[in-house]
Amino acid sequence: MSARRWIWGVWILVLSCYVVPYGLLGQVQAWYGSFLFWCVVGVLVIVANIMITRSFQTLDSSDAPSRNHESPDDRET
Amino acid sequence: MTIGLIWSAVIIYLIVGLGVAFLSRGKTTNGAGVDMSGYFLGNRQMNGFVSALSYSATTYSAFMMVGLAGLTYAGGVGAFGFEIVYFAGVSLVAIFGPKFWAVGKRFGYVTPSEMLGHRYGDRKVAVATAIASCLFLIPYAAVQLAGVGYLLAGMSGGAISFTTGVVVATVLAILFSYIAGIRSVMWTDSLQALFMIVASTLVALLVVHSLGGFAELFDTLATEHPASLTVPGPGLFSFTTFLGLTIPWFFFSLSNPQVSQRLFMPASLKSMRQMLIGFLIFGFLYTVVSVLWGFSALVAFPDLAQSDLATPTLLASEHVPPVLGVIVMVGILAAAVSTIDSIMLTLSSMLSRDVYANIATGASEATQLKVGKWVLPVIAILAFLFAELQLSLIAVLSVAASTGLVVVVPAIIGAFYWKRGTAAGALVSIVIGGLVVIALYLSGAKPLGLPAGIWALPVAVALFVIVSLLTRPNPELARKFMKTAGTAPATQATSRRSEESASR
Repeated sequence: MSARRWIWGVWILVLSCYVVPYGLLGQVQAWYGSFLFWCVVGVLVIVANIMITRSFQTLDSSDAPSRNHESPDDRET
Repeated sequence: MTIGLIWSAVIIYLIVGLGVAFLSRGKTTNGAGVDMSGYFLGNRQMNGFVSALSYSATTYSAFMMVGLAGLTYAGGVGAFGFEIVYFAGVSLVAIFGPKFWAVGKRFGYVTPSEMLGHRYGDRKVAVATAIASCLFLIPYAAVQLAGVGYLLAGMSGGAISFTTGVVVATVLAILFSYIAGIRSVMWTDSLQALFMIVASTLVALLVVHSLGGFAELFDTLATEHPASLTVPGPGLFSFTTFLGLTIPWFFFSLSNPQVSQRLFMPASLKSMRQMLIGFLIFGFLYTVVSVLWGFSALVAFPDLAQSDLATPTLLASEHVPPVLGVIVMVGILAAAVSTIDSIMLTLSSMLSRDVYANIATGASEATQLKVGKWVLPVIAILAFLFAELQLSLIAVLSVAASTGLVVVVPAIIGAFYWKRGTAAGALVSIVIGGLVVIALYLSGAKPLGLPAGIWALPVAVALFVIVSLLTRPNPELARKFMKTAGTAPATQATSRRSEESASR
């Protein structure tokens, strides 16, 4: 799965943090209700970030978004 | 808890912390010819492990073990959800981190506000961002200092005065940030982060065990405080309150300069990845521990007059041996100091780089650094005075900090993704947006029944977009910036090339 899809995964997780506890789990008064749900979201956020940043390991300064094509006086504005 | 035990713990912490701060001195921060980037960014050569621990210690203040535990005590599991939404928001580092890092290296930015000023081609944007950051973060630091004052006074039964506690925290923060700039901040932060997580986890496990274990704890909650395991629960976390708290905090990693400045510092993107993943593991553990702490207090002491007393009461109880209690006390002190010193260092870099250097045009790097070093204790003294005075306005600004700083977010996202964004749009969204937040907090007004936390971002976005569309952008600056960040729209030629390579 690409980094872009994992990013979408994070947005869906964030949305679920509002919808699920306030909707589906509103009446579940036990540890396996909202507490467990937010625990699982926390773990999935870590997994998603590991996947989103996989390419960081292989990128170095020459591959990174920065491309030093322009002359130093570009900084002058 | 004896006063001798408390002072012994504080002095050991002071000696070890100062030792680490001195050991962290290096050529980049204390050698000949040190520049702004060396002192405030560690020459952009920070490694991932130290960065992760420091990012954690900077982000998590005394709020977690005192405030979040108190929120859990009063509002139940909703406090956990609030922190998890913030936690998910740190994923913005995975998206924006490499972009910050690339433009920082390319254009030599030292502060996030400098980045905005350059991207939009107007120094006023940098000045406004720097001043807004000071306006909200100095009171925030002051409240942290006051927290240390209350903690030491409370734990010693008044034998250590509030002022003594505040002075101790102020001096520690000045020393940790002054000795070697960002290097002493990062190395002492790392030590403090390890201490915070080990001490709090050990004591939380001990307390839960003494209450009968996890199963017993949650069974008691389910029978005696069932509402605490749901939202809105006991009533504190209504949906609008939850939304108002979580929206500004979701953007914390971008809006707060003491953490967004960290995105300029890693030696490589691999280091940045280590920083992010390390922080997330730390943050998740620390959040769960703080919430368990609050739940434990609710089970052990269900009738406290104030929820903020949850942690001090638990620490002073028979569930925690005095030696461990004092260890957690130092952990909370460390959490406060590690947040305050980072804020002070970042604000001093902003005031010198974005305010002083823009007024005294042509000021050399050496002069800017000298000014930054002078400003550092001035900020600390201001925070100290605010903590001592305990003005209601300071408390309001502190509470408004996360909401007030979120008004910078549209200008930051626009800098990377919207070439049509203009300096006027950025300036108006930050200045007017910030004033709207302050007015809402001061008046207590809730337009349409919604809190300021919900209004801040849409107001800032609307101002940024509308004013940008009414004014002229600087397309050349936007092109250079976005090209470096890797967010420039593909030209026809490049998109044709990528289509060809994709079809092969």
